[in-house]
Amino acid sequence: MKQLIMHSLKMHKVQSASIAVSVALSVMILVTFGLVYGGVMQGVQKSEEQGGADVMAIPKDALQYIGDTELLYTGAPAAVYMPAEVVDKIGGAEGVVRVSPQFFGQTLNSGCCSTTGETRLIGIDTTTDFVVSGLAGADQVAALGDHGVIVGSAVGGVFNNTIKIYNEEYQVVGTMAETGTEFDSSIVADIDVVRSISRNMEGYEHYWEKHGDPSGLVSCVMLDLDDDNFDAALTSANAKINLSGVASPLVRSQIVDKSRAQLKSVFLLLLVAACLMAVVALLQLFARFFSSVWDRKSELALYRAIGASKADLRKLIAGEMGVLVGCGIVVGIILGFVAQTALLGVLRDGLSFPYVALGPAQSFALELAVVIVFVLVSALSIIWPLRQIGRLDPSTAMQQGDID
Amino acid sequence: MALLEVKGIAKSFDGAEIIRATSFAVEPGDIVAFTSPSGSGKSTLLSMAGLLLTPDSGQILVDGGVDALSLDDKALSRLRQRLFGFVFQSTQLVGSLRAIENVTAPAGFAGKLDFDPVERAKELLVQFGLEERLYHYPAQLSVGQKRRVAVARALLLNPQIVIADEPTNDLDEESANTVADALFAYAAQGHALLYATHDAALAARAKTLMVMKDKAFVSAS
Repeated sequence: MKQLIMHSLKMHKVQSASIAVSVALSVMILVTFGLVYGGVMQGVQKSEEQGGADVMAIPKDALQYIGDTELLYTGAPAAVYMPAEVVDKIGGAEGVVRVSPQFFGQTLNSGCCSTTGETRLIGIDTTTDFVVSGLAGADQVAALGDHGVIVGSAVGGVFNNTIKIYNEEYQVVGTMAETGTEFDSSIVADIDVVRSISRNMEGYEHYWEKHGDPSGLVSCVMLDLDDDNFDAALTSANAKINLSGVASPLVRSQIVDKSRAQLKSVFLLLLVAACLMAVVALLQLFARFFSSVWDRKSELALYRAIGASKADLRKLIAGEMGVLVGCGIVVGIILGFVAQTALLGVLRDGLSFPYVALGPAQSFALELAVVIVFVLVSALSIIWPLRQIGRLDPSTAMQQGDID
Repeated sequence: MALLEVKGIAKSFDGAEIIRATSFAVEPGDIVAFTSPSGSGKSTLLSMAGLLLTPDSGQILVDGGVDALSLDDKALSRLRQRLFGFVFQSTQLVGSLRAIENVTAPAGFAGKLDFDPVERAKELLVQFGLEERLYHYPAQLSVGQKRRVAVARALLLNPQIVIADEPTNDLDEESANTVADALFAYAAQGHALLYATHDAALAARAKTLMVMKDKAFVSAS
């Protein structure tokens, strides 16, 4: 039986290959879609669970340099600054529970430091911080001091629990939980330490000329609002931020909703593409096996005559389909994992979103779901050809000529 | 005990009566030839006897009285495989399979065998003088060689009865003799041979000759 299955596939090489490729592409799209969608949803959920700031006050002109979703999800990629007095101005707003400033330092790389890849340096006020405390622990934040840092979950280049930043060694006192954002590639230190590093940074002089000494500057202010009276607190905080004259508010929930809406369209498009590919694969499989049974009537009748039951022939045809679909699924899953990185890159070029890769169990569940979908698609496409086999008359073998 | 007992089988197509009630029995060692003019129903009769075609009426008993026509498809297929080997009029080799693959094809549906089908296929092909043609495709074989491959395929699973439809048709004398000798030699080993022919010489080699009379086959004796 195996020999006959392989023989038939060999005989229809081009057709078989095209079907396997079609199945592989459909599976690839579904797997890629599932992995990216699952990763983003997990990232968004994690980002929500981890709490953080409800509102972020940023310098008024910051949005000229960087988008709101980028600010929320990519940590602190921009050198944007405003006077530190803004913290007091905003802090007095009604319904604002906690206020904490941050100072965005430079982007570190292996040229200056022991870190691997691009790593952002962020200064936090250890006395008021509630964002990093939620990710790494309040004790770790309290332990920062002058020579301590907390690293993001994806930061590399930590040796013997120390990290080198511009020839200075810093003790790693904690690691932040994974957020799925660029925050994972950030290093957090005391705000005054980061200000001090930045003050002497070559190329940053123009910032200090424009805004003043770093010791009097902050890059953003994180606000935690009263959950029981959120709407009123938000209105009050927004008003205070706007009244400060130097800051603009970024409301986390609005940015998350905006980001979700953008992603929804992209994912809808991907889902439609995946469904269309699945339908194309179904039609191709149907056409291939319908014509196969029709074209091979004589051959199949001969097999009936030499002892094959209807069930045997059905196994033969289903076996051919199984090999094609099986190969397509395996290749498609592998390609799906590869394409995931490419798709993420493309999406991140235009959009900012949190992403936490699916774990092995979730990935396996996704693969299983895709396999089930394609088993169903294959079953659907083969029903009619298999019914045709039931009508094959073995006596046809007596009347036919040679079988090509 | 009869290997096969055909009782009053008849067949019509589209209202036209082809075979009228025909009966015969086949025992080990029997060699039965069916002769009649071309197109008169020999192939139809052999198809019914070989359980490839269901008769409109009558009974086909096997294994000492089992009504073969009452079996389900799976059981009927297995019975057909165990009981019969077919040599079709136009060889019916699969063009995309090599000679040896054509011969081993029945093994693909036979489940577990107590012999190696490839070795058995080689033995048969060598026995029929095709040792140089094991891996040739049908298109690379002569008509006589193809017919020998078809006979080898029919004998692969050691069937109790070989059914051959015009086995020497279109063959030169030497090839015809080789094919016929192979079939008769197999029957002589305690098996049975049913064949249709309009070759009088070949018909004369049968132990029993069945001729058509009023659309029914009857023993010439």
